[in-house]
Amino acid sequence: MRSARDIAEHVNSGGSAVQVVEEALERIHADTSNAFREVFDQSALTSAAEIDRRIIAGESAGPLAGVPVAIKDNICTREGRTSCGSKMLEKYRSPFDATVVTRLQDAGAVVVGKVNCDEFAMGSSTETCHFGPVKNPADPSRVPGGSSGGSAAAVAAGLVPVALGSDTGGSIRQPAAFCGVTGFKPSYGQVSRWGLVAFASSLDQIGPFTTDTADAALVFGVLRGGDPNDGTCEPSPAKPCQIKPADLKGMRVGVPIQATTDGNAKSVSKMMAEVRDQMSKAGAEMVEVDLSLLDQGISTYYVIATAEASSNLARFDGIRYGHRAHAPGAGPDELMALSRSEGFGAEVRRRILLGTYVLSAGYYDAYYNRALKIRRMIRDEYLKAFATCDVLISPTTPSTAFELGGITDPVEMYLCDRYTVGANIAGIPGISIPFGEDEQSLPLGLQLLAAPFADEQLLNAAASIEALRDQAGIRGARNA
Amino acid sequence: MSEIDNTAVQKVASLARLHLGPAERDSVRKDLVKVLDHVQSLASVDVEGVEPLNNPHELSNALREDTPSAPLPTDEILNLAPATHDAWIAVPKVLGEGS
Repeated sequence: MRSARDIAEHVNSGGSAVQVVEEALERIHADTSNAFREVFDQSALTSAAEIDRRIIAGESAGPLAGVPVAIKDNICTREGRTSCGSKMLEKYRSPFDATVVTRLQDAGAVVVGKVNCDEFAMGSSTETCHFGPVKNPADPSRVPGGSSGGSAAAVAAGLVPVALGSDTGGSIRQPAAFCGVTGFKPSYGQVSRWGLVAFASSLDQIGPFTTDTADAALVFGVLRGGDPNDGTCEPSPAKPCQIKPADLKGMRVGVPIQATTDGNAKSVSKMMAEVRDQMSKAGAEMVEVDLSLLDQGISTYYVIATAEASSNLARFDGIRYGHRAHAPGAGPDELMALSRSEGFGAEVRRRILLGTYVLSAGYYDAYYNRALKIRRMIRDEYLKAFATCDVLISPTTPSTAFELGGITDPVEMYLCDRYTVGANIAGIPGISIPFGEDEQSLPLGLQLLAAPFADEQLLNAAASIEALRDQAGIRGARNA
Repeated sequence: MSEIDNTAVQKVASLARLHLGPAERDSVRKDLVKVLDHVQSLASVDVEGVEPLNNPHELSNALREDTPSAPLPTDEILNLAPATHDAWIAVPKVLGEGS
């Protein structure tokens, strides 16, 4: 499959967008990974024909002309359903498009459908999806990661060159690592969240899945920029993102001591050693960094994220939209409780209960308020690290993709996000790039983090490491 | 071990407007104990003098100009409701006899 850059160039110079989209639809219909929840055959072909018409008429068609894009099921589209992987919203049709969807379409991208995710983005394996688990294209007996598992699988299986996901604690980077593609979570506030069904509003951020960093930068340039509908979005103007691979010579690369522990799988430790070796040979200065609070990340994250989720998900009451229980004679409170219990799956109910607990009288200070204080300490630790380092590197995940049904303990599942939650807690940008494979040919992911709003610097560094990887003949992205 | 019994689970469930059957209540309690035990590690961090951080970039409110714009189409919104009556969303009787 071609990159988004190649497709846009092909279409902008007269190649048929309809043909590009027809081929994508064909691949999607033949796919068996359950990545797609819904395919927009008709509207996608109509949009592609409109792109072709514009180009023939000599009009500009945009930097993503004719690029087929898949959208995570928790991002609102007027076309089709927006179900968030939940029975609660199984039939829900959004009356508006998310800002990111409008921006993609204005840039010429063609939305070909919605992709599955963990229910309300709560999970690390896409197994909590009400519409069945997604299989990892690298090994169908394994999970694709989560929560944006459908987005990662759609790119890794070569169905589309670009998919959007959302990342609250690693939901873009972790599945990107598990499936062997690039997943980029921008700084909090770089991309509008208008139309993203909220999970944890101070942590959520939308970002792209692609096969390489240059495509991630291309899509990021289209997505970013202020939005009057999202007060947390930086009011900067939209502008393209020009990628320029950074010079590794003299680059200061921090490696957290806590990220090179025995807790990592052997293949993951080996990858880290290889990366360090190659980067030092290329002239980068490798610096050991002490992120003493890294191990408090998961606890801090789960308190804050579930607290915010319990509040955000209170809107699903079975009254105005979404699932309503059939309960003749039930009063409003009972109807609400029945509708929510039927509409939400086990993991969502568990997180709502945990969030309600940590916010309840008597526990607020011990859990929620304490977690917010530790959040500041964690953020400050990152800021301190970036005072002396250009980027931080770590594994994206402690292990490669696990078997479907392989993890049933909630805490064990949460620990998959050990290296990723920090970026959400601190609001900094993070990217996972594919870097080789383990002894079972499963993809390994390398995570890079940078200072708040140093998104371009992060992408430039990632592009240089990609080049190193390719020179060394180490396996990069999967795309079919 | 975190102290959380079935009564506490029931109280939280009722605050969250969730129904839990007796069997589920017990399994949820066990899961919550596991997660809360893990989260106990936060108690070991010295947070003396640290202010809570609600938002990573400490943003202040950003308000839009108060200018009218087109509303979402009413018929589409009503179509999303599980039950309607004319141009209204139908709900169970809220005010009972004697209230």
